[in-house]
Amino acid sequence: MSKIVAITGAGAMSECMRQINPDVVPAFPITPSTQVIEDFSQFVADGKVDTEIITVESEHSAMSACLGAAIAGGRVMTATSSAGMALMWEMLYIAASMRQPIILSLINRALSAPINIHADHSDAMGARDAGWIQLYAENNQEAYDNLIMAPKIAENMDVRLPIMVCMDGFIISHCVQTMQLEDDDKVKEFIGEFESTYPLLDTVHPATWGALDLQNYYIEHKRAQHMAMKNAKKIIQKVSAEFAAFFGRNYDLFESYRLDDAERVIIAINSVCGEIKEVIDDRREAGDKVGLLKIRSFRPFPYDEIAQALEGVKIVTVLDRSESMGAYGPLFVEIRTALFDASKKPMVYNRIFGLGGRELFMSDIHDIFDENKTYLKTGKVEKMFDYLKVRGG
Amino acid sequence: MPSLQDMAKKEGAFAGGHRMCAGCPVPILTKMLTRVTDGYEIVAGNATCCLEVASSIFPYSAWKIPWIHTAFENVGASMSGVETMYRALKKRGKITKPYKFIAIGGDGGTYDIGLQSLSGAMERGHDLVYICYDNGAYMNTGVQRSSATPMGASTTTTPTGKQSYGRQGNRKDLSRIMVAHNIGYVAQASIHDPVDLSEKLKKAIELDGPAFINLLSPCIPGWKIASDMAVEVARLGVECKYWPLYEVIDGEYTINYTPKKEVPVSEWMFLQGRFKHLSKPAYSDIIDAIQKEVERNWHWLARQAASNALLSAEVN
Amino acid sequence: MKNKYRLKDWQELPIGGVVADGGNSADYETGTWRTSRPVWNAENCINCLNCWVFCPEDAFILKDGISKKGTPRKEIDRINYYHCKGCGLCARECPVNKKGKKIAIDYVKEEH
Repeated sequence: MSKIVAITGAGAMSECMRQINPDVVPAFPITPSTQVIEDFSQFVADGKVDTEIITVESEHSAMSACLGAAIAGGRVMTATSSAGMALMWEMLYIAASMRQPIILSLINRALSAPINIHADHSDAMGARDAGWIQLYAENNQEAYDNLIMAPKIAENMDVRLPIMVCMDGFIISHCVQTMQLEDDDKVKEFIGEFESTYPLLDTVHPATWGALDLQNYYIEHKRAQHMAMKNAKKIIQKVSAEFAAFFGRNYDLFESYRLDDAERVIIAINSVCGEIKEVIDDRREAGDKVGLLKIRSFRPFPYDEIAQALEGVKIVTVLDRSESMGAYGPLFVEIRTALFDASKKPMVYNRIFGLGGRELFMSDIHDIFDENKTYLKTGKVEKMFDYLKVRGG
Repeated sequence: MPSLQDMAKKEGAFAGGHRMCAGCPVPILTKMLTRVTDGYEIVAGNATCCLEVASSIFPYSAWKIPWIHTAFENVGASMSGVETMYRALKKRGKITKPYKFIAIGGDGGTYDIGLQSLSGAMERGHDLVYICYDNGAYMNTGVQRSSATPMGASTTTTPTGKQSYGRQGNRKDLSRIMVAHNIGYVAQASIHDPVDLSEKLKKAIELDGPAFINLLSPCIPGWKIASDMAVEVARLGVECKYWPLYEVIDGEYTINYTPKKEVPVSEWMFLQGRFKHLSKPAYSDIIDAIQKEVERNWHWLARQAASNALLSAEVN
Repeated sequence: MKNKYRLKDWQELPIGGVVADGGNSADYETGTWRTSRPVWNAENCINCLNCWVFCPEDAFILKDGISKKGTPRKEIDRINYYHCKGCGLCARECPVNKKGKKIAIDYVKEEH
């Protein structure tokens, strides 16, 4: 039976993994993703799943074992954060270009140095070119729902790409929120059985996986991978529609919160969106036409759909929770690109916030809306780029 | 013990038309992967190395069995994943046949960058055979030194020069590191003795659990020998005790072959261009140091085997 | 052969860089690498199979035969020159050659 539970974000990931009951889970612990695997290990120990866990000796080996297991021909899941993602960086690219639908819970945490265990998006953004589908979530419900949809998206035969389901470390992963936990059988029915492609364990048709390409073939293989990621956009929408029919919650490539007649908009990713919605509701009561565009799918990035959603908007503040040193923030760059061909371009500017867990309070978000109100009034973006909430400015 | 006739009657895993150097002895190993046992489906995996590259240039593959390569430092981890998926699917009734898994890497991808993932795989107890073909340097990328490179060898990162005699210091003993993982079977073999190798491969495959074989495998361009000399040079490498042939079964050492004649290590070394510079009189102390180290290792090994024999005698 | 290995368009390639036709390297000619070639002499051959086991190219083709005792055994049929790279391992390791009285595998310069 579907029921409301009070659970942490990491706990929700683990429950979902229990419901999916994957074939193999290779994992290495790293704060704050550790609880996902610890809880799941208990399910294994109690026989609630028959998954084989591999307690590997590093995250690079975790992704290597994920890849070996996936190619062997079965459903594979894992979880990591921060430095763990960074350590498996080489293997992320390989998993994507070997077209294996591995499912990873990424509990977003800052990259070192300095070493910091709290939320920011540098781990996921650092891997944005790796060829993985990236879905983001505001709270534990969204992360749980994304994880249910993940196998169906990744394993679709027009896609066959690995997928990372992201949530903010500690803020969401370790905070208890209420959410709808769906029925085990319904989740299994929704997801379906795993189908393999050229499984390694097929000795009747022996396949060679991981051949060397010279200059005469590499780019063709990459072009095929490009097509798969392109297909992923409509598959994400298709699976989300199927999810809505099954479970009654609606998702798309992004969420438009009170965007219809909004003049001043913030675009952001993950948990800060919860607060932004509260501030928007507040300000709307006073007649302020503000809105939020909350990113769900960062890869593939829905340029056209976002440009369309922002029609009529006059000014956009893009909040990045990671820096690309020497350039504008990763989300800002994508939004600017999306808007470049718009007939009526809004003003767009970039703010970096939240690095290493420096949270924004409601008052800080009010300040953002006040600032973009001023910019709109004067018709000038005083500061195209700035850090928020840093002592010294 | 599988004889050549026994092996010849079975189907091989590795086709011709690959791009290994003329005279490379590594295909002696790949020739026998499916020819030493019966009744198992065999799946192989490779670290990045000469064998991997030369056997799988797209769209060609020399592998007649399922084969996987993902990266350089992780064949231990990748194959752990493959082997675990097999067990998971078997548990769920989706696979019924018995499978065995073989991971192969050069000394580069095994002693150095691949050591961690090899260690993890062996420690976790996967039913996996790991074979390292030890040619004493990162040969695939042009003969750079590895921790398996013998003292005095000239490599591209330890070249001889006015101020250097080549690789300084002694090489690492990976076989002993593997014994310290408390796995059921560790062996040293050589490509010059395929019957001995086939027996060791058979034992390793048939064991339930991790097994490790370290295989002496001369390299034509790396060791600077003629294309017909790999077997001869490997033979002498064993005769001079540089590469003892032994097994460690459940922690107990057995030396498989004790050379009858005393052959100085230098005789083996001077068959190879990579040691040619050491024939200069100025380097006689290096030759002595190398000889000393070889003898030290042999005596240590002989003591293990002797105490093993003694204990067995006591028990019996 | 030319058609089978022509450069394909990206849409024609199997997923993820897979080579679905394992063992197809047999179609690739490495015989052009030779500067010398082994020549097998059937009358002097004792069918020890040393050449077969040492050959890196799997170039010694076997056939079914009968031993002196009347048991079935594998015997050398011929050398596959499509793959033979002319390394000379077979000639060097042949025990008949080593004895010095007869030559079971000769090793001669390749004519081009």
